[in-house]
Amino acid sequence: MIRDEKTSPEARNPGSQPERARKKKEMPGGLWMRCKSCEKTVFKPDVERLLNVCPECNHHFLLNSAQRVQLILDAASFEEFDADLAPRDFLNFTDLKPYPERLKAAEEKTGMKDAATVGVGTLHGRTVVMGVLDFTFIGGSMGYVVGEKLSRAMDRAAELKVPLLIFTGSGGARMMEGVVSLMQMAKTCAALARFQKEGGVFISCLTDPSTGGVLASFASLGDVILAEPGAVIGFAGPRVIQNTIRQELPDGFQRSEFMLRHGFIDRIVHRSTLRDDIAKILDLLLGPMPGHHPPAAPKEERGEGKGSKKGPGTGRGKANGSKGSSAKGASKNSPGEKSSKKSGKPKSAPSVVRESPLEGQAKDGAGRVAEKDAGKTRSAGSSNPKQKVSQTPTSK
Amino acid sequence: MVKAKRNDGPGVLEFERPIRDLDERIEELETLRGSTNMDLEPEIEPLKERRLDLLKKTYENLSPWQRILVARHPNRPLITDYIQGMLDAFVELHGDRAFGDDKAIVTGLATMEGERFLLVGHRKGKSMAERLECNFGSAHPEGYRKALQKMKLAEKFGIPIVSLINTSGAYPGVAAEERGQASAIAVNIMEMSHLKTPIVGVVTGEGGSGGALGIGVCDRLMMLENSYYSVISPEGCAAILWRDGSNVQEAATALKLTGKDLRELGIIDHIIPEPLGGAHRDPRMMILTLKQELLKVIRELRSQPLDELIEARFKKLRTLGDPG
Ligand SMILES: [Zn+2]
Repeated sequence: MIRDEKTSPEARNPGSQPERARKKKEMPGGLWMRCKSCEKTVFKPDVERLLNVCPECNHHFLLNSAQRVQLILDAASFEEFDADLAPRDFLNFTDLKPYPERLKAAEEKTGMKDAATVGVGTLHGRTVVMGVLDFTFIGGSMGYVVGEKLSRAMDRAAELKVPLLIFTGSGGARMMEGVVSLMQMAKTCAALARFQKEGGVFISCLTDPSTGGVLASFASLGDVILAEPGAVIGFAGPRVIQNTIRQELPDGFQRSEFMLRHGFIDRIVHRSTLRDDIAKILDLLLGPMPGHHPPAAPKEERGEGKGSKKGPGTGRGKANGSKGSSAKGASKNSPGEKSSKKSGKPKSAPSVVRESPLEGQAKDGAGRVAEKDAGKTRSAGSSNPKQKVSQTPTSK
Repeated sequence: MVKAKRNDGPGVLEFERPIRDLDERIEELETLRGSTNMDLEPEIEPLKERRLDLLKKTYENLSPWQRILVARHPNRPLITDYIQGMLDAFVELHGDRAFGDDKAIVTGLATMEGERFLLVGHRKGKSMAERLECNFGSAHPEGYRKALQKMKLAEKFGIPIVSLINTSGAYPGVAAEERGQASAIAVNIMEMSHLKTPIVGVVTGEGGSGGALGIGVCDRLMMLENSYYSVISPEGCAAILWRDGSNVQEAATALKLTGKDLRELGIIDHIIPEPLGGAHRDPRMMILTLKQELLKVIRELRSQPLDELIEARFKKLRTLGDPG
């Protein structure tokens, strides 16, 4: 249920993995990185230009909260609230390390007090309340502060009568806060019910990974539920499931495409169009913002071209295949047509514009972030879950 | 009578062995007395006193991990026992009207001393066949959806809901994921947060994380003395944080999952005492105690205006974990 720690030992101990050390040696100069999904060596500036997406296989690497806000909202429109709300050690919890030490380490690593960032901003001129769970802070796990900040975001959205967007990257509940963390599921659901009953619109966007108690509460209750491609989305951890069923897990199990196929998310949206698609959905639900140019219509096929270059037989290739087949009509276009269509259309300009802020951030260290994320993503089982299960040293 | 063999019996927990040994000694003497007419009272009485002392001491000082073992005890009363021993009438209602009927969750209309209510609860099963049939009390999405469908029925007719929680967790399996385990639990939590009828929740054995909360949002949350409620099983927690499943005792302690801990944290409202030595030693007594507690709480909640009740439930949920 809670996979954050189990699946991302690096989240606690960045840099200590021998694998990472080996990789660094292989990649001098820092301009190249190995994609954790397709294992190809890719040019980091290319990855950054694509908003932290692998140019070879389309794998969506993690974004941290600041990058996510930058990606989605109008430039400099975000006003964070409750940034100082700090976690408490309700249980005096100590495992191999006291919980306060883990918190301190996470704060030093991320500059945040806890995994949630909430605030008000605008998206194509429309005021929205936005929340982000950052996987880099103790696996994006939900304890008291995350539950409280998200609930306040819901309250604020209700008060302002504006849409609510929440982007989850979370392994689930934070076990170091015990049942208090479990109860944040109830808290967020209760606050969300009030907001939605008053007519509020909640768009839940699931990014890699969105699992456990976060998925089993507010994240599954969006009026519209979106997901980035290839994200791990599920309730129980793959290792737990495998211990129960004693069988190999099916290919693509607990990925966005799997969830789409089984009817639990509305759309898979490529990162390059995410901002515009959300704006479009809000326009269509609430009516367009007066005096604002509507963005280009969402396109199912956008951004998939490069992924489908890859040969069949890998999980990633199949994931793309299943998405293509579920998107009616998309299969008519060959990957080549898709990308030419994309570059040929002036209307896709907004997404191009969006790329620059992240590029800018690359200068102050986004490259490092990308590399780190790549490491984490693999250990979080974003590659083949089967592989991960068999490799996990603690599984007995 | 052969002690060595009974050591591995399913009904005897390791820390209960000294008590069991005394039980056997007393039994032996009583048998002897019966067959020989010898006056053995002077032998038996002190043994009985020692046994009682030991039982009290053992159960007053259970470690969190030992309490979990009691909560999972094979002879502990289960929902079927409560239905039989507590209710005047029970009409089970099956199915989620969409996919199937999950036997891991029981729902039905009940009466008890003139109080009508909907009973919802996890079913673990008694025999091995039953246990397999209901996946040892771990529900699939259709179980949670069945519970919600019946709870809405209760809401429509103004009938209170009693939820008896006893699960190690929601079922972790491929089919459960395919049918939306997370979504089913999320919807239940949200709906229960504003369902317009009183809800009483009781953790009778295991309160396993989201699987428990999926039928566990309520106006009054109670726990039997030897039950536990946790965000993750101590086994899972040990495997993840200690990287070693053998640290279950430390994990059980760290997670603060007993009724006493959760009462102090303000998560639960009340601890229901168990018979001396645990519910498994005297199921009948346990059932009667729970019945009295439920009647008290149902009557109390029924006397409150519904609007106030729902508002109080919301406030309680919304302030969970707040300082002070
Ligand atoms: Zn790649």
